[in-house]
Amino acid sequence: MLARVRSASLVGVEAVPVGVEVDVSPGLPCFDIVGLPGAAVRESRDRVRAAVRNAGLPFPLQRVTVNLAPAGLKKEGALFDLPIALALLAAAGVIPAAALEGRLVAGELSLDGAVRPVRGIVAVALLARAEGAALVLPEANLEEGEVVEGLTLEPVATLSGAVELVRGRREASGQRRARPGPGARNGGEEADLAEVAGQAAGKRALEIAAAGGHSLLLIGPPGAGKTMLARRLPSLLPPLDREEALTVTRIHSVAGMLPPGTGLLTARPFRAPHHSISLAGLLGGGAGACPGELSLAHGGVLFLDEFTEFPPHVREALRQPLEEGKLVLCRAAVRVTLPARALLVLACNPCPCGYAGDDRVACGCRPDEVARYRRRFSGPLLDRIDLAVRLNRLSAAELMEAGKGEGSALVRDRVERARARQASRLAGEEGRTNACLRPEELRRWVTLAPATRRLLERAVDHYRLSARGYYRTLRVARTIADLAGEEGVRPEHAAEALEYRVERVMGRW
Amino acid sequence: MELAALPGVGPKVYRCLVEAFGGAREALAAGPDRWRALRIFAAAASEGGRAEPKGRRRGAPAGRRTGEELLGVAEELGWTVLTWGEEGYPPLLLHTPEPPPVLYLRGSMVRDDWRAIAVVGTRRASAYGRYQAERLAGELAAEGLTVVSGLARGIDETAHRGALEAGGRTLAVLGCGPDRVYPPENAPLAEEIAESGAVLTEFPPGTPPLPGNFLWRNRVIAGLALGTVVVEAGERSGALNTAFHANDAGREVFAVPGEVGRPGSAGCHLLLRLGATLLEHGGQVKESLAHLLVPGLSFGPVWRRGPIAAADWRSTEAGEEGGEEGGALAGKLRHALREAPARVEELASRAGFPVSAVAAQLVLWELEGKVRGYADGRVALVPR
Ligand SMILES: Nc1ncnc2c1ncn2[C@@H]1O[C@H](COP(=O)(O)OP(=O)(O)O)[C@@H](O)[C@H]1O
Ligand SMILES: [Mg+2]
Ligand SMILES: [Zn+2]
Repeated sequence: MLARVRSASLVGVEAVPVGVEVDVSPGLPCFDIVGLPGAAVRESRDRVRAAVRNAGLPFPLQRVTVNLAPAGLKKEGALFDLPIALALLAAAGVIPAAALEGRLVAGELSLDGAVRPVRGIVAVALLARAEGAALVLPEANLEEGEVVEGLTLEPVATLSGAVELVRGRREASGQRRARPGPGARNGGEEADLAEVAGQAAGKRALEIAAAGGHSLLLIGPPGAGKTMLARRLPSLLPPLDREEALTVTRIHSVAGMLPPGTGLLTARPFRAPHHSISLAGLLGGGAGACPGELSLAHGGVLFLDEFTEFPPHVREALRQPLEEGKLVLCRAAVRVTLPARALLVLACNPCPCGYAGDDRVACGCRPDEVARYRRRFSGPLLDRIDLAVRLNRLSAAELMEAGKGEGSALVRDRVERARARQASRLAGEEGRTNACLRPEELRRWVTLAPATRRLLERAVDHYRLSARGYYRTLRVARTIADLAGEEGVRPEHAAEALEYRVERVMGRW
Repeated sequence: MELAALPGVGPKVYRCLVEAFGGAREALAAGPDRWRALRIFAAAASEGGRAEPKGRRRGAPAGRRTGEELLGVAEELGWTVLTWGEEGYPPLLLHTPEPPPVLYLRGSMVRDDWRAIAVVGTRRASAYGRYQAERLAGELAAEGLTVVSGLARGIDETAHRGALEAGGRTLAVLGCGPDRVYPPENAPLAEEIAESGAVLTEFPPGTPPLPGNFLWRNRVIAGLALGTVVVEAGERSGALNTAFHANDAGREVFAVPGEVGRPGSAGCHLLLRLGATLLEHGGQVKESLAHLLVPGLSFGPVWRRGPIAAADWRSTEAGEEGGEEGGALAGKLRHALREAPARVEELASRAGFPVSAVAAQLVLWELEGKVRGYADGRVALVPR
């Protein structure tokens, strides 16, 4: 006898429909899975067999064949355990086959028959909603499923619970638990800009970066507060809107990065991968194109501390996705697009020992060591940086001033107003900021007063600005003018933009 | 000049007077009564510039001489005079805690003399010390660096010779007036130095070579150079004093190690323990100062004190357009810069303006050539 149930497979951050068909027919007892199962899916056999027996249910001593359709798609993940088990029980006549209709099932089984949480439930729930099906999901994933509104969720904790549910003996739990309150503020409650003492220039650069979506380089000795400042960048960004929050939650869900019990993520992510990370870890990988750190930072901040330590090929690989806001992975037969619009923040020491230019600790590096170190700065990534700022270590007395400066909320207010100005200019192109203005747009939107034009001409000469450097300055100047609430770019806006050029900061120490 | 030659008027007092009255001539004209009102310098004012000076410049001939007289004496001896803020005054020296107001100079200094290294050491030099001094001075000279020293017996004279023999430039700084050479047997060497380089002193004609003068003179040796190399020195020697002056001025200190247990090694080893750079050959100096010895940089980047002459800003200030909105910021910022070169955050807090506005103004000024940024991020006024 044949039974069918719907399930899903994860490709990138999307869930695609997969039909689970189980045929139970007379013959020597055996249990086969066909239809391009991945390794985890093949192991499913053993888990399903044990779980069914341990749940006290009969396992058919006949020929069992499982087919996952469409056959051309490679299936990954443990979420097929539960649909296979249910379809198998239906095919064996333990539960009515009709009961599986109108349901989409996902869940992993443990040997004792408990239903374990799986990753990617947000994407699966979106698919279930689109298909008009109710979603049978692990109870531990309920909050995650609730992120998607407008569908029926049927949480189950055990295989026997699931059997009772489809037999209709248990109330389909359409009822919802109380939604978790709105998530933490961006950057968390504890990370406020006010806690950073001094560093006026660093804070200003952070504000400009937040307002215009500009990438930022922080350079300074250890303990200067590079990490501390970078961590506070999310708190300066406007809150995620519902659509963005859903995307961010979906990405974290697919990556299995949502802690149990977490609902919609409303804080902008801050990701700080270590430089030993693999390319797959950073960009995403595996047969299911599971998102990496870059996509996890989507909508928030990607912080590469000690970025000179990241191997060149890794830095090179980040370049294009950061520019385009998305990442294309080619996996076997499919091309997968992952979201990757993150604000890039790089941090590094000015020299190998870290103390070049420090006021109190002498740099212990030989000049050739410094030269070699600085050579690592050039090339991939650094040429994408719009803003750079040097941070210096504060004295104990200056550190005491922490808590007295402007808080994140005040700065975020200005950032939001500056972003509103950009949005009205770039109407219809959602998510774009000054940082991605193309040259022709710059000509259109950056109106230069004669004095500003003269200043820039002199700067091109004096600082030997390249064409790229010139456009970069215009973009940053546009953001500074937006922060000042002005349509025209005044000389002082352009001058301040020149102050944060990478070449300028690199020439200093 | 006349003012500087007054007993009791050292660099600090001179600076106060010049700043208070807007120039040396004006300060002189104002006279001791008005000086006293400033209450900054007890000695000079109360003595009216006549009584015995106390302190370092002991031995200067008493009695007041006018600038013309001093200049006359100096020129008769074949010397020229450089004063503060004047073109040709060594820029590195200007950026030390106490640059001499007046420098008497015999020979010539060239633009590139800021690429200088001082080589100093004990008068009781061993053969090893002499060998090292001569070799290092030669190597430095061959690298195109000017060698500065004090014309003393021992290491100093050997360093001058080493540089001369390598065909390089060398500067000798005296501890007495321009009318004599100490030690006397080095008079021919002084002649030779003046032919290709320069002999300098801050002491007015007639000043005898007293021990205190040499110690005071050491800050000039250190101040003229990007770094100071100590070749051989006892634990309490003038060479260590020079090294400490160099350190105070934010300059590099190098020490050549000697044999353990010999008194002539103790000073260098002390410096090494205190963090001086160990020096084996001249190339290492260039390596550790590579960040300063770059083309385009006109002189050393580490400024402990600001440019001094109050007149520095007069010209630019007059040319500054006032009235418009930027006026208040410009004035405050200029004031902040005059205090001492500093980074943008520090300047913003001194001037009481946001860092955004200050950064913008500094870039505008930089493009106009009014300020200059240094490698350590500090910004300074460009002296006029
Ligand atoms: N400006 C500052 N205000 C307050 N605390 C600071 C500041 N700078 C550094 N600190 C303290 O020093 C620690 C180290 O700073 P960190 O951001 O890790 O430096 P870096 O990343 O530059 O090495 C911080 O955790 C913080 O406690
Ligand atoms: Mg850090
Ligand atoms: Zn270093």
